[in-house]
Amino acid sequence: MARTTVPAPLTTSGAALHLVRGTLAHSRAAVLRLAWWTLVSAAPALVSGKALALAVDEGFLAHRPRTAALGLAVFALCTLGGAWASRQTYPWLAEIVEPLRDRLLGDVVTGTLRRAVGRGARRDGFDAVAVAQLTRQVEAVRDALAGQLMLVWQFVLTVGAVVVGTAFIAPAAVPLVAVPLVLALGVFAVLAPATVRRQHAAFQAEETLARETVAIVGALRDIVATGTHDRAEREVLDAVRAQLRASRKLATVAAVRRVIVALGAHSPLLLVVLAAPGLVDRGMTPGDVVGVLSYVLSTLEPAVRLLVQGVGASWLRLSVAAERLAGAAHHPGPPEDPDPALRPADGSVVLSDVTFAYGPDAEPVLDGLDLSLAHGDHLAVVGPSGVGKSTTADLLTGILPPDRGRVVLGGVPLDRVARDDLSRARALLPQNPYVFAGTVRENLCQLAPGTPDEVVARTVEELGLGRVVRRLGGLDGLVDPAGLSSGERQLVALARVHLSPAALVVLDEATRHLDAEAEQRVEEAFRRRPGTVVTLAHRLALARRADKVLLLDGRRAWVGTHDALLAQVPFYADLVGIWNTGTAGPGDDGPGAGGNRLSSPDAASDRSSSRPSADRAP
Amino acid sequence: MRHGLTTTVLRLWWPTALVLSVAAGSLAALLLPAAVSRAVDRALSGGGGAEVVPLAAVVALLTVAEAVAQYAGPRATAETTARLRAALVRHIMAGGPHPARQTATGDLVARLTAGTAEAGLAGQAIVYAVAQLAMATGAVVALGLLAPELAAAFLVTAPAGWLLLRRQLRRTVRRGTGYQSAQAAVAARLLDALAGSRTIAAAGTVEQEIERVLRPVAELSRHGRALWDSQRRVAWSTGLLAPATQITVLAVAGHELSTGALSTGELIAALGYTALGLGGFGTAQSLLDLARARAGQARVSEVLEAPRAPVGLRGLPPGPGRVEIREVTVRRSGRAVLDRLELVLPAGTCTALVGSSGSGRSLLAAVAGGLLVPDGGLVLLDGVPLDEIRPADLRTAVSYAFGDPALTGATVLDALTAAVKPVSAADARRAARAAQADTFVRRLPAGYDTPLADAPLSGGQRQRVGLARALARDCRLLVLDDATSSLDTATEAAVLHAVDVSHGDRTRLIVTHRTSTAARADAVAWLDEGRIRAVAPHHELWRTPAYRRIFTGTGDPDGPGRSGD
Repeated sequence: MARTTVPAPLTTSGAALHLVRGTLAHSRAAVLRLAWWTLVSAAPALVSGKALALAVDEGFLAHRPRTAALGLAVFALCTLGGAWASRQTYPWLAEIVEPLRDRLLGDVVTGTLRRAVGRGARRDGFDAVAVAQLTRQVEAVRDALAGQLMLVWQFVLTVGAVVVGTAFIAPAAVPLVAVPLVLALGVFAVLAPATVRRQHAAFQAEETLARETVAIVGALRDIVATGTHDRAEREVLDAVRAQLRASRKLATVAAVRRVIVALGAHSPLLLVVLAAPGLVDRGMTPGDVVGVLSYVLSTLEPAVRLLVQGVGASWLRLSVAAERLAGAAHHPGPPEDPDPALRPADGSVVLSDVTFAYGPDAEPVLDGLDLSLAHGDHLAVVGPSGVGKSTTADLLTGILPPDRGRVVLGGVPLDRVARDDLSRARALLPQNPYVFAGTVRENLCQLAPGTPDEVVARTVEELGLGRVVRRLGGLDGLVDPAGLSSGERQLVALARVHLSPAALVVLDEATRHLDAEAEQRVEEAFRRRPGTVVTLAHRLALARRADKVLLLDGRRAWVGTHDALLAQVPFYADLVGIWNTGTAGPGDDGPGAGGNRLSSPDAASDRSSSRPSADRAP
Repeated sequence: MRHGLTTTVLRLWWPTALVLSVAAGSLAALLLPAAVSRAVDRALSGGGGAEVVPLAAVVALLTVAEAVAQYAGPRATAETTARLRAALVRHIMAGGPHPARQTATGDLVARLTAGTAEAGLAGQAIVYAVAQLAMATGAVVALGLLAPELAAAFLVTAPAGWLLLRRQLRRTVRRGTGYQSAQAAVAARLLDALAGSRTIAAAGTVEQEIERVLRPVAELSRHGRALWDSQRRVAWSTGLLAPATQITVLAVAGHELSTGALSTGELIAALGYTALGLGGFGTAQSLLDLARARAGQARVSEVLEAPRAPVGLRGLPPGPGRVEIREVTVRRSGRAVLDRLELVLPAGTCTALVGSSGSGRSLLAAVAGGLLVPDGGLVLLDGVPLDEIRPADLRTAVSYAFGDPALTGATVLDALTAAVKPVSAADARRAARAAQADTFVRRLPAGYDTPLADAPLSGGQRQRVGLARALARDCRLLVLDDATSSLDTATEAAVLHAVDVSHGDRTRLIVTHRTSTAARADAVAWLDEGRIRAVAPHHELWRTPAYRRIFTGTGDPDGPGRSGD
């Protein structure tokens, strides 16, 4: 639907050439061996024609079975030798292509992950389809490059062997074979740009169609609801037709390319047969004719067909995939550490005038936020969803830099802390806990490698994770992320942060999947742990037990204790009302009068769009 | 009828051309060795070039037939693919947003792009498989006609090689499975790490993660090299098979030559027929293609076979906008989410729809406006069953706003004006102001003309654009399905006030989990266990503890939009 198709550059060979050059340079020894064995595999073709000619002339026609057998045996040995030599090429091909695949995977994984953790990365920017595509493209490069290495070189050598072999048998027949062949290669070269262009156009039409399909399938509900379903259907059908047109054009080129086979392989056949009487007059024997024609029919024709059908398409696949992979491997270098780097002294936090927006013209998520936390404070951040709580967590932990103002941790502005020090000084636990395939110990001690087992065991028990760890087979048991429930994954991630040396811990709805009892146990465990804790709260209890509450409503922010906010900020009271379980909230005996006003049903018939203003936090 | 005939002819044109050209090409290929043999014998016997004419004719036929096949094959495939795609698109659109058989977006897209392309190959694969088999048979017969001993020589050698080859192919397939699972392991680890990117960013452990994701690469490499090794064996087997057959045939042919039973030209023909006969092994590849094509066909028809409701044909007479939901049942995975549900939305009133998350609120909202045709029961708008109303009329009468709106079109203005009859720009701006969206839209780089792709909208901003889209046009029934969940209460109150002003005399259904919103409505419909438990003003219901409990813990974003199912 979104018609923002930026046409990709038409020639994509740059990335592929770069890749091929790089690969050849990287595996020079293997390339040389591959070239050598391919050469050896083509060499028997030089002799095979002559051997066949001899077998016919001197053997069969001369009624000398032993000479015939000898000729055939030489012919057999030649083909056997050729087959054996091409058998030898495979290990070297593997030696070139396998490390290339490993390198490509490494580059793609590195690029994708570095970009994902880089500044300004979309937080939900992971996409199973995209990852699957990347894997397929790595495979496409592996296969297509192997094909290119085999095909192109083998074609050159085979054709060379045919021409030289023909010269061996009957020098006069060489022009009959070579001239059409050169012409055919000329046609191939002339048609190549158009072929690549049309193949590329077909590929792009296919991609456009996929994109449009994703767009309409993804927005189907809205398309139907707005009644624009005919228009959307027309647009996708247009994309289907555009793809059909591109396929037709490609088919036209394919048909024209068939001429290359006629020219390169069939016209030598006709020419040799046509010229045969004259050649025979000049001393060419029947055996020689058999030899030359066997070259043309059995060696040359398959080679030309392979060139026409294989090389072009596989080069295009290579170039497109190489281009995509170059994009996927691209990533910003790690940011430089400040000099001199300072180390935070403790978990105290000071935010002054912190402002952040997701774009220069976008509404700020935070506007001039001031906040101060002493080491050991527990702060709850509260507000409707989508209001910027997670952004606040990112700013507090230095994952995002503020547009204006500064964040000071342990007396040091965050932009003066080296990255490694920052990782040790504070820890962030997001909503989606990250548990990876590895041992339990690896998962738990990720932030504090080398923690003694008894310390780990204590934390495990303290957080109520003991049962899970025992089920997995102790600290050396293997974790299968998909085999754990959401709550169990959260407990693993919580234990990891609990074990870390961080003086500031930010929990972004990190107990969402735990029941109230487990949540309280976790909270108490973090109370006993030295350091500052910031909790992005999704339940009232978390805010009520915190030392301080930071309230966000999308435009303003307030800081205070639970009771003070309840008394002073009607919006907070309203939130509490929404959260309230009906046991101790507004409507019954809530402490704040303002809270009662907005959330109790009796007062809610007030339809004024204005709302009581509240004081900004200091 | 005439039209149907024309399309049938058009549809069969290219497949027919393919069949004819491949048949002609196969015939020419079978004639070629014979023609070469004649021409060579004539030339060697000093008979001049007369026999070149039939040879040239055969080569010309071969060239033309193959060129036509090169065009007709892809063309027929492309036409079939496009036809399947169009059918799928129409089917998906007609099935609506809540089809009985839910398919994940990615899966559906894969079926529409890859599945149809594979299915389209079926015709070509069958034609070539048959042609290859026929040519191979023809070649063996031709060898037999030259001399029965030649056919015997071919038939003795070739099958032995074939057995060898098949064993190696099986091994390759086995190795391939191991390779693919190692590959999948890398992809799975990468996906895990991407899902945990925020943790990794905070912990600064990206280098360790890269190392961990790439750990299965060693295994992948091992399988990869093993694959090359088995390919080497396959190449060796084929490398032996072809020459061994060739030499056997040659030896026999040579013997016949020396006895004078065969001419030199016929020896060349024997070589040619041997090559053609060996080409018959290519049938295996065509059969593999055919299997793939059939799998593609199955995947496509799975979607196409899902039943689809007939399109309504009745016009909608004018009316006040009374909605009656009668005995509506909606089943999801065998469970009745809505169970013989009864609800009336009186014309011109505002009803809040309230229920715990997972109770099917969004499904009911979809049923009320005809986005979802229920499995049982009836929904009437001013007395007319929704599924009988012409789609254009129904969509003009009902306007929706969602919690997670998908914005369509090229620009923000396009997104706002999407409707059966496109809305004027002035109306769109007025609605944007009402939905509290005007301010931030004007702050976008190109204001209302900013391309959607370049508009960095937060969840709350998207909601407001979605609300503006719903408010930009007049309607009989306005459904707000959690459409204000990401707005703070002040903005929400302003938006709802604007709705009261512009759509105050329209029937409104507002799905909400906020007490303040429920309290504004004329009545609250309380959805519980698939039925409407009560319809009453909020303050009356508030006395019931179970009702108050619904608002527990709903500070969570409870998957707006389609969370109900």
